[in-house]
Amino acid sequence: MRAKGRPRHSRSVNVQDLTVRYGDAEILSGVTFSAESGQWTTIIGANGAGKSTILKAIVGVVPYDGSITFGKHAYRGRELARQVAYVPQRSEFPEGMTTAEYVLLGRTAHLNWFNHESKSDRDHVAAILDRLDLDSLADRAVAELSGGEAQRVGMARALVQEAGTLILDEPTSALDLGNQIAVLELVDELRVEHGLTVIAAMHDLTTASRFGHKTVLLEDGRVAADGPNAEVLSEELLSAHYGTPVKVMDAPDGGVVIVPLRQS
Amino acid sequence: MSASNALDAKSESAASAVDGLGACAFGAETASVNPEKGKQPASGLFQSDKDEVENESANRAFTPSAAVAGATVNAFRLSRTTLVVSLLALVLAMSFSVSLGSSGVDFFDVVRDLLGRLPFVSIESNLTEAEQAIVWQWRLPRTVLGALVGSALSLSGASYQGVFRNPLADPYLLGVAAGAGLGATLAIVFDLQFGWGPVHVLPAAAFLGAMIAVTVSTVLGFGAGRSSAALLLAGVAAASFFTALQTFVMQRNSDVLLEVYSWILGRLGTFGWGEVGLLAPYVVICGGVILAFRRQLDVMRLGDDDAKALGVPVRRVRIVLLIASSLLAAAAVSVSGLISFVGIIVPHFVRLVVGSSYRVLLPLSAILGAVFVVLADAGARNLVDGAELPIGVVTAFFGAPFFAYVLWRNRGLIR
Repeated sequence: MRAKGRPRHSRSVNVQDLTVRYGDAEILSGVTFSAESGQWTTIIGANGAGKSTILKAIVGVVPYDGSITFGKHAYRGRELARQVAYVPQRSEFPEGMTTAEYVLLGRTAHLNWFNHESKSDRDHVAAILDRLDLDSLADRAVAELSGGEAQRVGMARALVQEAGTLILDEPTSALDLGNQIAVLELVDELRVEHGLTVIAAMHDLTTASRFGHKTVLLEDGRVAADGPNAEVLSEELLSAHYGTPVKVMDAPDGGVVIVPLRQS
Repeated sequence: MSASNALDAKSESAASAVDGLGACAFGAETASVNPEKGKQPASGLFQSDKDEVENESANRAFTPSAAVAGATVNAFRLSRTTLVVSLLALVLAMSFSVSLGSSGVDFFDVVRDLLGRLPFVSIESNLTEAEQAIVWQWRLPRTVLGALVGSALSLSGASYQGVFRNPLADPYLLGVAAGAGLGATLAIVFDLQFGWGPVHVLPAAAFLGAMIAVTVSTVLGFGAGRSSAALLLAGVAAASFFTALQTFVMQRNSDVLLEVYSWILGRLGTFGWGEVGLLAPYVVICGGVILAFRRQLDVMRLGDDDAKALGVPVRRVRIVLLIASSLLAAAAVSVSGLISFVGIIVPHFVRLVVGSSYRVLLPLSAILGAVFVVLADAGARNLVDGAELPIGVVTAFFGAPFFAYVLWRNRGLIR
């Protein structure tokens, strides 16, 4: 039996022929890839390649053509919000809202018709705050949090959603070196604990190489490469798609260091 | 005072506002929850058995507030004290307003008379029959009407501010005032001062004008784009157009200027319970709809993308709330004229003093909006001897400095 509070469905995410248009501009054209259940898939690509748009399509924030399925099913609205949780690149932290209140909003898709948070919803939030070492911040205003704290609070809000898939849009972009690793380690721990399927758009390739099972490289709204980290994060592929020569060096921890080279 | 200090002070006052009842219940909850912690499915979720032992001891070492947070979180609660105090303020304001007037009826006699009419309460009234008539046919309906108008305008304003995520949004944003103004002006110009039962042509024309203006701006706005900025700009366009029409009509009929102005500045002229009966259903139904969406409005404070990702049908919520708040504002305006300022000042007063969660903001705005307009109307009737001031002048004349003071006291909170 499934323990209560454990995500219901840790499923693969299958993106088929995904096309997204903003007005006349085609942001994504026929993107197809899949993220395996319980694994970490990283999406990389130059600025404007469409990383964030893929994530927004998966969480149902932008309209799209094509299909996105979880396991074999497609979902919409509230049902979708129970399948997939989203930590945006930049969140809004409203004035006068406490951390606990902010995280409690993550329960939205699970509330009954009266929209009333039950005690079990509140307990759930308390447990997640505890797990992410945020309970001392519970009564603090979210607008006042530091970058690292805010990122963890965003993660807490996503976790109380009890969704099997966690979508992260550049989770480390606003963080210093130490916090970058700490946040990604946390995601990986949670992935293992909950069997979450993780899809993360990443900007910093060196950091990205240390986490995840596979990498999808986007270029101009199309998938340019899709495979295990080591395969995609190669000098030839990166040099070709980022438009600059790149050196990939092994690092002592099993990841790689990716350095752009000057074209002299 | 720095910004963070101001915030701290505010959260402290919010914490101290947790009432006796709530605090007791909360304390009891905490005590009874902790022993069961292992059984709580949610808290058991992340902890291996070994962690749990450590966590239990860690919890005990925590400061009280952290220990409380470890059991359950206290969030988005409207404290009962605040609610009771504001309801009490409403009752006092209404009794005060009813007792005030040229035929000085004693305040406590009015309260006794009102209480005496409650079922199962037998209190002898000291009022004469004439005084009872004044109270029951004139002052009380007018006071109740003021309360309804205040609730309607404040709720509608708070709802608009949530829908547009704009602190300057007010009930007149989509052209309610301009449309109602045109409707009322036309009714006055063509001298359509009659009615059937409680339905009079002037308020009906104002209501119709308001609804036409709102329809024009919504159709225009949703046609122009999905963003709320498009809707806002469409509202500006519609309002200017209707105001221009109204000005034109007024300019061609200068003999009615005075009457039109007295309507525009707002007045709660009423005799008997007719208008109350007209407005009450709107306040109950539209107000109920707005209150039912209070949680969605809190989610929408996170921005459209986040709200959608959390499962809120943002567009649908926005449309329903726009319809409900526009109807509510139009109904209020049609019986009271264009009372300004209420829909902005009251919700912001609540935000600054109590909190900005819509679960707190909406009910308190409804109550305190009623208090504000009832007191303003009492002032409008009695401040100047022998003449009645337009209520819109009173709300702005006393409301603006008061709000400026509240704003100044809470400086740093608004960024």
